[in-house]
Amino acid sequence: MNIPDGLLYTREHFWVKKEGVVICGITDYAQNELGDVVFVELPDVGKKVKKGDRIGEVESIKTVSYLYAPLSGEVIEVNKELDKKPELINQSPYGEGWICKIQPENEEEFKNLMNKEEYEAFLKTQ
Amino acid sequence: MALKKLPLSDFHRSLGARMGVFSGWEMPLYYRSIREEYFSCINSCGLFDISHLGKFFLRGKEVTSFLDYATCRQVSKVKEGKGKYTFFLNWRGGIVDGTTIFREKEEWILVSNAGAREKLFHWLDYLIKNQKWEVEVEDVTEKKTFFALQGPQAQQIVRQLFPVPNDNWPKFSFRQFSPGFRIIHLAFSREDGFEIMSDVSLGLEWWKKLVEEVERRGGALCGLGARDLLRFEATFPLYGQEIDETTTPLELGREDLIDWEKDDFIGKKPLLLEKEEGSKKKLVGLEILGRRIPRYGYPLYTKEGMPCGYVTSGNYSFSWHKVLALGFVNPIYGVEGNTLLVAAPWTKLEARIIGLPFAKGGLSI
Repeated sequence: MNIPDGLLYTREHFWVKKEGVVICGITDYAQNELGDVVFVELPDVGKKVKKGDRIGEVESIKTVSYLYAPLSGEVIEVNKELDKKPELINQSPYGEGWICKIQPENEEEFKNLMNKEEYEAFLKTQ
Repeated sequence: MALKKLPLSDFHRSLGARMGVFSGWEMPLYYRSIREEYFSCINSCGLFDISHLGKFFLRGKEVTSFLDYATCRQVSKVKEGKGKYTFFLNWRGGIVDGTTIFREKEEWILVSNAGAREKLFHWLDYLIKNQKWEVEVEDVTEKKTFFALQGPQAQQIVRQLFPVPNDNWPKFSFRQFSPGFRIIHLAFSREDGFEIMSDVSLGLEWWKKLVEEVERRGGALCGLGARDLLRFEATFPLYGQEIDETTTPLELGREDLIDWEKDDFIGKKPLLLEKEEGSKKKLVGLEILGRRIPRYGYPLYTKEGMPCGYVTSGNYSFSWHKVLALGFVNPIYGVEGNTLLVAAPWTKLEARIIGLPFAKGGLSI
């Protein structure tokens, strides 16, 4: 199980990387649970989201799962490549399989995200 | 009820199998990825452990006439070393199970869907006792390992590992490799394949040899995910989805699997009536617009909003790059080219009815 250092995590298995704006996607654990992803419904660019909002979905051969906004803010970019190659989520969940970029509106929300160790401990409870 | 484990369960885990539950068995769903395993079966070869399938031996003086009566195909015509796919029907013509049966002298080997195994055993037991047939049924499911080799290279692997007479080896026939060790030319797929049944004591040894050969050829170990997609594309029905006791072979569109010329068989009268009056539902293929996958049980509606059926299987076909589904619909609406709606969580999907089978190939060979 790959849980990189330096990222932040949600209980809905999203990872978040802070680079001015926020890049996010689903974790290695989540892609492994879903199995082969065949379709990703991405959020609309420009959409204002609240933390925890349903912003999209991931369809895999086995199941459908929903994407929940890790933070509140505005969606400023989505990974269009996933329309053509949804399998990037399986192949590179923290890299080419990123899902969207969000301009966060509330710095306080970062405090509620987990670091690597906390996420690791959280996974043990799953 | 405790989960049943494959004899090689620990071994599959050690090979990295992702396990899941299917029909009361803990099974490998995939080892690496369903996509990779699927393409191995299309392009080279894939190896599956299918020991969960029900395996029965039927013997006794009247076994062949019993099978002629209890299934809808004329099995008495089957020659030694050969087999058929057939349905055991209930009194209403509903499908107790779809099975393959093979003749070995006066003994028959029957392979059933995992989900119907106990039920089918009790059904056979009931018929035999109640109607006093001289037939004995032995359930050997847990005494035998059963592996499937699928893909264009399956034949070469079988030729290499098993020195059995292999010229003129048509589908639905088998060879004995050693006593109790049988190799059946058959695949639950459009592709070619073989199924290998041996005593559990020999299973691990042969699994290892097969794995080695499959990997040497760039093939893959495969789980139920790939198996399901391959059988789905070939439009082979699965028990609990396309097949159950409320469904008849006519509703499945498989009249070719009914041998009407037989004097009598269980379910013949209701099937004749159905043929005359028309079926209540019909299996159709559905091409889904978009890439959401309908799952078993999702309701189907007409464009006007009338309920008209339900989905039995849905999948994303990596070969055709399309979401496809199978479902039962009221025959009035089951016309090719018609558009239906699938009710999926949060959304409705448009579905166009297409002809079956999705791809040629299949059970009636």
